[in-house]
Amino acid sequence: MQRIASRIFDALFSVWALLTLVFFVTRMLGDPTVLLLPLGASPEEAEALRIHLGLNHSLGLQYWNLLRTAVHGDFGQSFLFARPALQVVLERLPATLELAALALALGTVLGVSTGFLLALHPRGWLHRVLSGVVLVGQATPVFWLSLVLILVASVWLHLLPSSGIGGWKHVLLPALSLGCFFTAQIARISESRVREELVRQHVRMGWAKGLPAHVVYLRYVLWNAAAPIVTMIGLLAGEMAGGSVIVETIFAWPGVGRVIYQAIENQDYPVVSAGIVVVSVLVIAINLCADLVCLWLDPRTRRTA
Amino acid sequence: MMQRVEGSEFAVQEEISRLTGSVGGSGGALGILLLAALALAAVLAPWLPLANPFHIDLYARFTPPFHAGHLLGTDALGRDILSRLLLGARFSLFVALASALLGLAIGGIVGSSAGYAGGLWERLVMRLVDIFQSIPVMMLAILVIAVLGASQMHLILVLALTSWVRFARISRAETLKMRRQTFILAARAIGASRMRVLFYHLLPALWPSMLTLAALEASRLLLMEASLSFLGLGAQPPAPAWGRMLADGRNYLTVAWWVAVMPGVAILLTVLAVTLLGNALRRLFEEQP
Repeated sequence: MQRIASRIFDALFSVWALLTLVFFVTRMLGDPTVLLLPLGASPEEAEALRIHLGLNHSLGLQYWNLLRTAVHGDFGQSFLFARPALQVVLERLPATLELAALALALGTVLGVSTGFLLALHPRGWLHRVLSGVVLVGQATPVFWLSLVLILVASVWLHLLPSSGIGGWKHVLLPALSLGCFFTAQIARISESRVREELVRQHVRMGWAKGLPAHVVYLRYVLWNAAAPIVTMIGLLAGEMAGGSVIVETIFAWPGVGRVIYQAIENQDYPVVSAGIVVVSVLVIAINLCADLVCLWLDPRTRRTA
Repeated sequence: MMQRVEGSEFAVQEEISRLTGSVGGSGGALGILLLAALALAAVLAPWLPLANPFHIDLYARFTPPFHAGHLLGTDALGRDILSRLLLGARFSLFVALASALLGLAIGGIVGSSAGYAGGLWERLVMRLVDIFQSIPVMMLAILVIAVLGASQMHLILVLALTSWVRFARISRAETLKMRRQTFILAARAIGASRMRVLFYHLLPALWPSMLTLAALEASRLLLMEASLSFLGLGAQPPAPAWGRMLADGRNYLTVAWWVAVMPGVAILLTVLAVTLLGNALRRLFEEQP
């Protein structure tokens, strides 16, 4: 219980640190009013806009305002859309969640089973081919994979649409691109974990008792190998968040990543902060869940230090 | 306290094995060869008999690979892709190397001093490390570069900012393992100061693990730099950057696939070579007692 509480506290602390970081970075920017006003606007008009947007206050006051309002989920009005920034971001969230959930699920299943296969066949052609694929998967830049997938599946074969949102056909290519690196990493850690478990005493005992293979593999091997893999999934969720900006931009997927990219191009601070905070809070939450799952999976970690 | 130590040793093996895995086979030589060839070509690029990377020739736009003296074809402005790739390699390789080394320097010193000194400093450092680990670093990098503007210096600083964490974690854990060992105790016994022990005895002993991690980090940073420049946050035009070349090429996918695919292959091969090198280093140092 104490452990769970301390994990939750850590997560909240991370959120605070994140807000602070985002604030100081965004306020280092130039004056956004220059970009928002038409050419030839008078200094008085610029000043009026600055006051309207709250940019005339001291940095300290602006920071306090950000913290105070962020707790209420208010990141201010989007400069560009003239609507609450959080609203702009949140209405794009379902699309991002759909994409990320599919990529995570696909990557976990594929990665763990690939890792299992690699560990069960430590040599031979299958191992060579699979480990080669995993190595290339790790080195492939997400944007390049996206382009090659578009080129092959959309331009040459006309199988799948290259952009936009719609049925399952639309989500397939972006999810594959986003999940590739993740899958390769999961495969690697699964392989090394499973290989460690395979030679342990309890697994030999399982075989000796004459248990069926699926019981030994799932209950004895995979269950014990699972905790580090779950931790890894949490850590990789952060990498995936970065990848989503690129994948969503390429595939014109109307998610949070794309909105962040567009907001950066337009120097729309409130949307940038809201977007990055929302995504990061999501990542922190996923990490928290992964921690909690680990506590449940591995009783040894439950002892308080 | 004891439990934390055990936990972090576990974390070291975890980190290294998760970065390299046991996949990969014996590609170290291949990696070094690839990387050496690329680095040599990049360094020598100005003296090689190549087309001018900035020469625009609209009559020669979209020349396919292996045509009219353009080994890898030309782009939308008729510029030679091979010479642009090599010029881009100078930038990307330098940025990745510099930021990995900077990350190593910061993380190594911070982490090992935290492990050696313990106490408040250690708790502070580890808390910072935890925070950095839970924040998506790519988001942070996009934000910082978008705000500060894309220059080589900014890229190096941002990438180092995202990578010092790993060096810090591993160097701290290694230090915790090492500080009870005889050579450290002996150094203290003959009257070496803590600073001296840290800089003359601990840090040199950390080299193997730090170097391995640096190679693995360099491959990650290369990918990140490519992603940033893909978003227009890397080297600024007309200077060629691999990610940017690829981004420009995607508009011409249907007419000239090589414009986008060639830079992608370059990134992939480079990252692959650095990863293989990292794996080889790890194996080399693991075999030593």
